[in-house]
Amino acid sequence: MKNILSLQLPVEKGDYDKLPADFYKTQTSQTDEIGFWRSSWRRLRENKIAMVSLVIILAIIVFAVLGPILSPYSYDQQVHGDENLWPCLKHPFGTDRLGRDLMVRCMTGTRISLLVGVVSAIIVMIIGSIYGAISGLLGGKADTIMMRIVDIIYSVPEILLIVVIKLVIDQPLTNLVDNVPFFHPLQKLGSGLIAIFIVYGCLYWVGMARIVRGQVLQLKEMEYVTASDALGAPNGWLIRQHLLPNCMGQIIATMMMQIPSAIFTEAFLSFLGIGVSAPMASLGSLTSEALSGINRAPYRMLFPAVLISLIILAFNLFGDGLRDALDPKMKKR
Amino acid sequence: MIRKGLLNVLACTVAAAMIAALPAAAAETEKEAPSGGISISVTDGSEDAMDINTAKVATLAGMSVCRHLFEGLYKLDEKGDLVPGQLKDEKVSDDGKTYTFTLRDDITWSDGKPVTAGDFVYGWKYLKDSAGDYSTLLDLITDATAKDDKTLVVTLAYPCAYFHSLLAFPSAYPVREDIVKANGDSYATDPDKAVYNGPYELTDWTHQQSMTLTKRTDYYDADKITVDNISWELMSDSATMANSFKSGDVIYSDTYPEEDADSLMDNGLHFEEGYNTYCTMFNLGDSGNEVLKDARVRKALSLAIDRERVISIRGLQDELADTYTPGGLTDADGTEFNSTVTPWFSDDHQKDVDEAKELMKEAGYEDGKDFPALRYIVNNDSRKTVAEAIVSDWKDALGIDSITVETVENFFSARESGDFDIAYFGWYMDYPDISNMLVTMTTGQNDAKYSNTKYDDAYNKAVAETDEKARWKDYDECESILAEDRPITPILHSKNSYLFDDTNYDGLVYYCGNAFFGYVTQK
Amino acid sequence: MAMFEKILKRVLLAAVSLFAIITITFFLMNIIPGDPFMSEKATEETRAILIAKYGLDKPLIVQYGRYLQNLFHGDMGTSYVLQKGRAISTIVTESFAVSVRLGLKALIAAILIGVPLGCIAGLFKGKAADGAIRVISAIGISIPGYVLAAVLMLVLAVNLKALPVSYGKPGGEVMPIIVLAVYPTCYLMRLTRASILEVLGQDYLKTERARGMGEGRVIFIHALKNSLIPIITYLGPLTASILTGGFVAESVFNVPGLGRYFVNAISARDYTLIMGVTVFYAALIITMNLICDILYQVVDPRIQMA
Repeated sequence: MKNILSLQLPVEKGDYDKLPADFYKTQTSQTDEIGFWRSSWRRLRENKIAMVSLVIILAIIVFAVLGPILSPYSYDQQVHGDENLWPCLKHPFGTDRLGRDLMVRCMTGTRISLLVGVVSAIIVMIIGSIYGAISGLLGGKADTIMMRIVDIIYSVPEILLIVVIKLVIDQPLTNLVDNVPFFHPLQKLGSGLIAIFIVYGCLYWVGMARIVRGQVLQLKEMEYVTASDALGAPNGWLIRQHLLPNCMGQIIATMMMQIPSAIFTEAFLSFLGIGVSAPMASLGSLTSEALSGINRAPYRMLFPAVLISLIILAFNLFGDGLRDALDPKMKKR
Repeated sequence: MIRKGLLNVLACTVAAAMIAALPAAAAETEKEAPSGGISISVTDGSEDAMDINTAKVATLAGMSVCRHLFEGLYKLDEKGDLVPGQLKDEKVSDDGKTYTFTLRDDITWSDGKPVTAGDFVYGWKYLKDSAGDYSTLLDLITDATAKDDKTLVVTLAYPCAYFHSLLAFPSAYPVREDIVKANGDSYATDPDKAVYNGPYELTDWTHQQSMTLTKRTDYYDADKITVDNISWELMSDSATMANSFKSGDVIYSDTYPEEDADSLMDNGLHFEEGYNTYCTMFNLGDSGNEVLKDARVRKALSLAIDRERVISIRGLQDELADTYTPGGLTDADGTEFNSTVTPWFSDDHQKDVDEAKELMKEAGYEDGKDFPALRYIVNNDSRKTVAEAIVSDWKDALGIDSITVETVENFFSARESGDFDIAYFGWYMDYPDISNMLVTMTTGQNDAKYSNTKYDDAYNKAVAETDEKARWKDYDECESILAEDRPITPILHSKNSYLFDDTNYDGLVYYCGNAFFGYVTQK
Repeated sequence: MAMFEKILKRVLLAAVSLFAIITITFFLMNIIPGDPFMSEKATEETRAILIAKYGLDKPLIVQYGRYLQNLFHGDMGTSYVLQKGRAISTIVTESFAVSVRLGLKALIAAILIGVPLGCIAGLFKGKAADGAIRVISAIGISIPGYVLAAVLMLVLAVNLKALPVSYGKPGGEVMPIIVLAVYPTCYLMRLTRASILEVLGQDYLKTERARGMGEGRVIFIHALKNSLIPIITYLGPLTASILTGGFVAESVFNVPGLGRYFVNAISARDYTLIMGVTVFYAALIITMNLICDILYQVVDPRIQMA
């Protein structure tokens, strides 16, 4: 999944030098930040698919955030006598083997899955963009070495790495959560989920790093950056003032695509049986638990599977739209 | 570098094929002789469960295969009873400690060599050396000597009522020294290298996919074996196994998704009494939470579990466990041992819950107040469901909501290294003798890090005891001490279950989780 | 000549990468708690004997040195748990052959369906065909593999009885191939579409058009050729990941392929098998990337090799 989802469409390694000659001009004319965001928003609004996706995302967020508050049940409440119910008025999504209401479990699960997606995407963005920016800025030998490391991480079988890292950090993490009062609120989630964040952060930043590096290499050639550099501006300042703001569009769009990818990974880990701790649920753990009962209770698979697909679909389409809107090149079409 | 490895392998394979060519060709011609038997497909276990090294095999599925390929002094007949196998005659000394076995004259290995007493002696030595899970099974044998090719004299440390069950166990099968010496351990992964003394030989092993067992016509009791070919499909996913059974691809499956039990109940699902106990284990060691060292807390947690509900959720015809020892074991008077021990629970669950609440109050955790966070580990989804039901009981009855359940992938290592507070624990007996059950709670033998010298003394006394009545009394004491200390809490005694197409077939032999298909007939 | 030097340099770097991966995996693997000889019935003593027998009680660095030495001589050891006593090289080649047979079919299906549909969508941007293809591809990349596998199994094998449940029976390849191919097919559609659009929007095509070059020629000569680059980039890792098999497809449909070992070997702590599979897979990916880079040069010599 790393190989597939973190490969972003337009900018790949070596791809940047094919950009149109007037690219930089368009870009510089938009260093006026407000104008850039405003026109991006206008472009986004015109994109019907993206707007529909945005509405779906917002609806799902409302479902996930408000749902559990309004529901008469809690996610771990086992209603004795209501075991294995098909969808009905009392339980619109049915109940599981333990008599838990699946609707509220799906809501909670959506919360967790969204949390996994967003937190992972943020981690990836931070690590990836810093690494990419540094690598691109330094250039030369340092760049080669740093990119070589990226390539190596790229070639290790990802499933292997995920599972190994998960297993290796699991125990220290559990101790940390148990012994440090600051982390106590995380106990409910279990170390499994936190391990997923770390795994994700460790592995998936490589795609982001490549993209940011590509952008940085382009921008570096631009006159005003070269000028600042010549005037003796420190690298950190360069990154903050010029490079990152100009890469923002790409970074945000890529981040948007990382969310569904992280949700996918979490689902896969649940399939392997190493996701969130029970009784907490994620959409991944709900679908994988439903697998064994799919002959008898297909409805238990249906709802979380539809939700997971809907989330991924909406984020992918919205991400597409966002990238188009934030990428000034597209304006010319 | 990989290529060079490949060449080595290739060379080995070619060499092995050449060595095996002669006997294989002989087998070829034998196969052509029609014996009128049937061919069946079954699924029982996955690739990693399979091991045709009888000294190392540790899974029920692997043992089932071994029971087809090899045979010990005792075997199972078509009714599933223990009868002499490779054995012609047995003499026991008056003190019950010395056995003189005479082997049959017509027994051979699949390469034509006769089975000798020396093969048994070597097999038992090999068992000890190979450090498999069952390497201590025959530790009660103090001496085994081959007087001549057909006579085996065995001395036991103490008279053993279940010695015949042990002798029918795959770990007690004979092993050919020359084969082991020539091929090392790897003989047991290659059908061309291994030799067999049972009713079948392994003619093909497509790893990860299937094993093909073919009837040996030179087996002494070949007339009784009705199945000529068994195609043993290797699968790991329970849904795939059940679906293969439903679609008729296989006539037997040892596994199916628990939740399909309802729909399979009238369609081939069978239950057999098993000597199994399903428990919850508390960590009393240093790595476990302090709170679990309080016997009152353990007892409260134990009493609060609604075992009836767990059983109804599982839907697998389990029996309520009131003791650690499963049913079916009879004491000196022939009465059920279980019925004579004091049960761990009362008949009225509400009364238990009230007592549990009282105990928690005494321990200082009224309504679960300030109860620390605990981690409950299990190893699969089905056990996770049970654990969640239990955790919810603790929440409802005792107000504890700080326990989380986790499916851990490295379960056995996590449990052994004490990386848990509460864990799943289950035990199935390999042969119906109570010592096999109670030994698990002696000092150093259990992952709960439970250690009570009173328990150990009672157990050791029982095992060495020659008077049967006194022995059962000692076992009774073990069980009572355990009920008082509760390092574990028994929840249910599960049954063994499997899928078998009994509308079209008959004659399956099922024994303690092992299946034997040789006597299967078409209806 | 410059080209040859570049390729040589690239090959050397690949070898260094492989070595790094072997090292990382070896040590990571050994940090995981547990050992290969854990089970409900194993006792401390028997485990200690086995650990000593396989040399797992030696210091890690000694084990590492010995592993490298053996590897250099083409010996990847034997499996401890999953296929006890069998040579790793046999296991890996045997199961890889199965994965390749399925994987190639899935790959070809993905390319034959994904690329043309993606082209159509790109060329008819905004039309009904584009909309339909976009929706289908978006749905295709949104379904988790195991859900798809379970649903296929339920519908095609159990209810309709149209296909056999497990691999090895006639027709048993169909479902695993579908599960393997759906994601790459849909992804290829999106990739091709985006790539075509990108190329079509570029200035030089406008110039060509302005020069009076026919639309058909513009599309076939320039657009398609140039839009191949991102597709080739994607095909490298895709081929590697598809050839090594999908864990999901292989475990659900009982395919004796390599994909299952990625996870099962770790669960079982089958150290030699973990190493064998990783070394093999990493070598495969690195080679694929190498081939991609070289292909790049052929398609577009302007691109600098990394």
